[in-house]
Amino acid sequence: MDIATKSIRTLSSGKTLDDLVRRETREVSLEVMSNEELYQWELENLFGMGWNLLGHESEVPDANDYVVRPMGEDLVIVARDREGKIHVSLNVCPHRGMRVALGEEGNTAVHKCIYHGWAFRTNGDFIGAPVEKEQMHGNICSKAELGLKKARVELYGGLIFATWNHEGPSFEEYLGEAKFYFDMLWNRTDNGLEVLGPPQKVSIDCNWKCSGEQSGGDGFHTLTLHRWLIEAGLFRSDGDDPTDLAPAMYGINVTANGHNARCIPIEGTFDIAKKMDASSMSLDERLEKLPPPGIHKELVPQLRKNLSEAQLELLVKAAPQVGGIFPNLNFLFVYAPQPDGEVLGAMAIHIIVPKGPDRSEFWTWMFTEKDTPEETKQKMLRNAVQQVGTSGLIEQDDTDTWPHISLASRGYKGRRDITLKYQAILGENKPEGWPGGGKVFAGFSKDDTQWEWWEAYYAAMNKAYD
Amino acid sequence: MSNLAVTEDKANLAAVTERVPSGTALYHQVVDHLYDEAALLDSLDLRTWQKSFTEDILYQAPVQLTARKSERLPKKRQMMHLYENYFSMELRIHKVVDTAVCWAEEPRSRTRRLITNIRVWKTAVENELAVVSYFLIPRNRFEAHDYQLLSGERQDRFRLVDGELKLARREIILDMSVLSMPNLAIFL
Repeated sequence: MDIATKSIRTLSSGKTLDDLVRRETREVSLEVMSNEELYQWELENLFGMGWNLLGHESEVPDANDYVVRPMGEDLVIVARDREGKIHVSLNVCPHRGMRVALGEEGNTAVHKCIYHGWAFRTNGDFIGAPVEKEQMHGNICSKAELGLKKARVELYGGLIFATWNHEGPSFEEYLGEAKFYFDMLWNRTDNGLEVLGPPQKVSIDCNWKCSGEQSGGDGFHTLTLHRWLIEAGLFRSDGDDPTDLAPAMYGINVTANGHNARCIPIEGTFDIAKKMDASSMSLDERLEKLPPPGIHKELVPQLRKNLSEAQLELLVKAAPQVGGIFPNLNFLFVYAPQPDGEVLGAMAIHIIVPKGPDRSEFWTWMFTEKDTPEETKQKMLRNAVQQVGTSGLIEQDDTDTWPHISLASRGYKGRRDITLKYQAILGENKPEGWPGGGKVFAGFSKDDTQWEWWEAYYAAMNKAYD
Repeated sequence: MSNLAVTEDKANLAAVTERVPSGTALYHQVVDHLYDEAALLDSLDLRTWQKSFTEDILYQAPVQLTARKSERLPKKRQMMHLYENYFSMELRIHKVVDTAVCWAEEPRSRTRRLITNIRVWKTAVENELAVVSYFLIPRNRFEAHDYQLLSGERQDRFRLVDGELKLARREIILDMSVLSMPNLAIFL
């Protein structure tokens, strides 16, 4: 987006989006982490009219299966119909506003509101109300008008995305040039991914953007907040001092439309790969000895079939291991070396769900490839639970940091005078022969992609809907 | 016993036989052990606590879901908040005790493990006891004016080894589907 674009929206305090997101100096006012009015815009512009991750199709494998999921603060029913199609409908009865599906998950052909008995199909259509001949729904609105509000749904690699924006860009257009990289994770095998279970959910007293902006590609926090990775010897570090800078900070960061991925060469991450001298291996040798994170060696032929040669080479040499989809999705598809020398993968996707300016829910899904041998699936689940999510040794430190930022943004001085700074600039720097598009930053991971997250935020917020 | 937790290896547990009633010496040995364990956890003496594990310990907390009894759940694997064995418990304890960078517990939380409703059974395996108890854990961080509260049930298997109780299995049934605390860096 051109930096000359000016804000068309103003808060009642008189502040504009330009006052909050200061694009010339790459700063963001700390006020964004607590402002109630801004939060209401976000519910509309980002979570209402933008694309939201709701889950994965393997969560509703059979006809009439459903899960209840958040689109901002709205809850929706994600249901599979008898023909196998997935529908997303607002979980609010159009009669008197009651929640229709009461469980977090279930299976039913008819969603019947317990309050007055209005009934709806899995696609949200209104079937009728009790004592049909007395017409509880009146004769002013037709039955066709009285269904649950339907969202626009797109599946990408089995992931279910939805929006209330029926006219905007398709999900594929929304991904733009990031799709090339994400296809290496979500569209690489014949039968795709499956969830290892329902998502973990925890409540955090923080604004959702504390997690959101981190998912824009915060590399620096690995060095300090995740220092344990280095101290425990899990991350490679050079020199005799185990707390030396981790070479994992070097890689290739890519971004498009506010989405991002960090492509990290395995030899920079783990001692185990350094010892194997991975950098001198041929592509075939690597595929054999160090398959990409989450890929069991039996699935390697599927990679060759589903990915282009350029994608395969990148996936093997510098897999996209962490990244995000704007605004609130964060993924980790990382190598997970085991004590016995086996290299498993841990694959997780998080969303941060807004629950008011000062509270959020943090959700974690864990994945495996559907065709992974059963025994390995269970090992992957155990490993992923130990590393990421609620109790994850790596991620437990993130969630306890964010509440402090939200609290700081409520202070008079903090809100007024502190900015979040994204001024460590590496600059666009595409290696010779780089196969993918988007903006590419090769070298030490700095603030470049995180700033692109804020540019996407500015662009999405700087719109007025009716 | 509660049947809320559905884990695949539950079927492998030895069947429960006779109840060990309160008032018996064995019952009180279990009660004393649970109280001592709570004190070790609240004072973060995790290395002493670790000595009471068997080497095949399984320590896990399944994710809970709100569901209607009239509907079946979509078929999928059981997700866990904790899914630990001896090796991973050692990693967790190491992080809290031996490093200064466990930011989820540095500075540490103030906790109080309140353990009640203790019931004990013998099992088909000699010297293996089934123990069910309830817990309430208020956790206080920084200068918060309130607590992150967690309640639930422990479904334990203890083995009597040379007269001492060793924890072989702990299944933690949490009373929340969305946990009130942002992480489980504390032990339950």
